[in-house]
Order: sequence, then C-alpha cells, then structure tokens
Amino acid sequence: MSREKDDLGRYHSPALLILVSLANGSKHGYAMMEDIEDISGVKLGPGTLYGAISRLESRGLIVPLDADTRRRPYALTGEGRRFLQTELDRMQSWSAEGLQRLANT
Amino acid sequence: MNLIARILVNLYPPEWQDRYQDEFLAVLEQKSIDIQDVVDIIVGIFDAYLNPQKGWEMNTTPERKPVTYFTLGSIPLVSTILFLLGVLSIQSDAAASILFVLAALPYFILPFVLAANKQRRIAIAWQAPVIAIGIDLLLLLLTGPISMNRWVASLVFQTIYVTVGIALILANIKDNGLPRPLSILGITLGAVWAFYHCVLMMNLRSPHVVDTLSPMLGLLAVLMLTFQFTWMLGIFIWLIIRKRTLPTIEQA
Repeated sequence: MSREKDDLGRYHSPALLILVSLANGSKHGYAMMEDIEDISGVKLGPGTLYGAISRLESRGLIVPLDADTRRRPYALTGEGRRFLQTELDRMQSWSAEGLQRLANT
Repeated sequence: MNLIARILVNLYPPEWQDRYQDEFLAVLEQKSIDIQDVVDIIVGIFDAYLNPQKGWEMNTTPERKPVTYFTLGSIPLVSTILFLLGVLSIQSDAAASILFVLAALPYFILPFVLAANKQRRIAIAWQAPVIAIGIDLLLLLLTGPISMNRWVASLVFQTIYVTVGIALILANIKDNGLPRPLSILGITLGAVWAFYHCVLMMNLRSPHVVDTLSPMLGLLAVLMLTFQFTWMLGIFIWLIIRKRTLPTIEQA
C-alpha cells in the first residue's frame, strides 16, 4: 500500500481527493472537480485532475465505466476503497496526534 | 482561454490522447478556463511525457486520414520563403529581416517535432502548421515590444527556442517511429540548439560573456545548422523511401 502511495508522487493529495469524491458513487471528470471544490475548497485544474486519474486507473484504484456521451464516469474499485480507508486512517492518526500536541503547549 | 486549452490538449502524448482526449475536452467544455488552468494543462503535458502510465496504449481510436506530402512539404516551403524574405531584406531593413528569419524558424522545426512525435497519429499533424503559424503570429505581434524593449524580446525569443530544443530531445528520446540514426541526430540537434540559445540568453545579463565565447558560438551555430539540415534531409529521404503517405494508426 505504501509503495502505491509513494508512486503517486506529487499527485498523492489530488488522488486522495478524487477517491474521497468517488466514495459515495461514480462521477465523471467535471462532477469530480465540482464535488472536490465543495467538500474541500480545493480547485483542481484539468491537467492535475487527469494526471491523478491516470495514475489511479493504472494502479487499479479506480475503474472507468461506460461513457455517457463523451463524459466518462469513474468508480472506486475494491482496492481503491481499501487504499482510501488506509490513507484516511493514517491521516486521522497524525491529525489527532497534532491536535494533542497543540493542546499540550 | 478555452481555445488555447483545446489546442494544448493536442500536445499531450498520442497514447494519452487516445485514452483521455475526448473526456478531457468534455471537461474543458463545461468549465470556464482561466490562465491557471492553462498553466496546469502545460504542467500536465510535461508530466504525461515524463511519467507515462500503463494502460494508455490499450484503447482504440477512430479512423484518421493520412497526411500527404503536400501537407508536410508545404510547411518547410513556407518556412523557406519567409527565411529568404528575411535574408533579402537584410540590406534594406535589419530589424525586419531578423524578425522574418526568427519567425521562419518554428516552421523549420516544430512540424517535424510534432510529426515525428505523433507518427502513429500522423493525421493530426495538420495541427503542426497551425501551431507554427500561431508562434509566428506571436513573434510578429511582439514587434512593438521588441522595438521598445530589446531585453524582453530577447528573453522571449531565447526561451521559445530553448523550449524547441528541449521538445526536440523529448520527441526523439522515445520510440517515435523514426530510424535510430535520425532520432540520435534529432536529440543532438535539440541539445546543441538548446545549449546555443541558453548561451545567447546569458547575453541578457552579461554581454561580455558572449563576447568571450563568440568563437564557440560560431562553431555551435554552424553545428546547429548542419544538424538541422541533415536531420530534415534525412526525414525527407526516409519519407520518400518509406511510402507515399505516412501510416494511420490502423496501418502502424
């Protein structure tokens, strides 16, 4: 799992945002951008979005569905769901640690 | 900005375009594109060349028309006419002649970079002259700033040509369908080209550096022209001995 994370390089954060966006159902590219901006305030550029999508797809974390006209929706795979769970647990862990340290100073 | 973004999409690697272009364009149509998005797309293009992902080659593309000699041949022809116009006007108007010569250069190089790089999707090489004309128009539009600010003009020109050199190297590093000697020649040309213009760029801050390097600059210029014309000649010969038209993806 950590190897996959390392492989995502500077696309790690955009990739996680995409996985979170797909966690409640499949979405096409533009819908992901809108959803990600709504839930995180982050505006993903189209180049970054597709840089992350291509990495996630090649690692089997998301899968393309049949295209709705030219807009192709993507869905999480089982591996993608496990990867997202691991990453969110990890973030929750160090987030709690950070808050704890702040509270102690 | 949307038009610029749509043109830029064609600079992604052909395998990427096969897989993502349609849906990417659909996203661009729904979104209002600003300058940040354009920069983001340019970064994405470099990333796609440097970090190709597995699975891009698994998809099919619709049938595309092959490009004929007329298309490829007309580009250097226009380039040569512009170049000669520039040379002929040297006596009467030095500034205009330099502009013509500079404006001609993208015609010489860029179509071949794109054609070589998109050999499997050669049908879209029609975009090469469009991009070359775009660069030419940009250079011509810079006439005003050139006369007002030589420093800015030099920086723009040298940056463009360093980029062209790097593009040449990138286009020839991977298997682009050209014979190996032509690819090696293309890489060498790109390296000399980029280095030559990097040295010229040094002139912007320290003119004396270029003065002391002038013998080497002369040598580099000769090497650059030699490589350039050998490379172009090689590509023409290769086209002639290969077949009448370049292959479409179905034929490749």
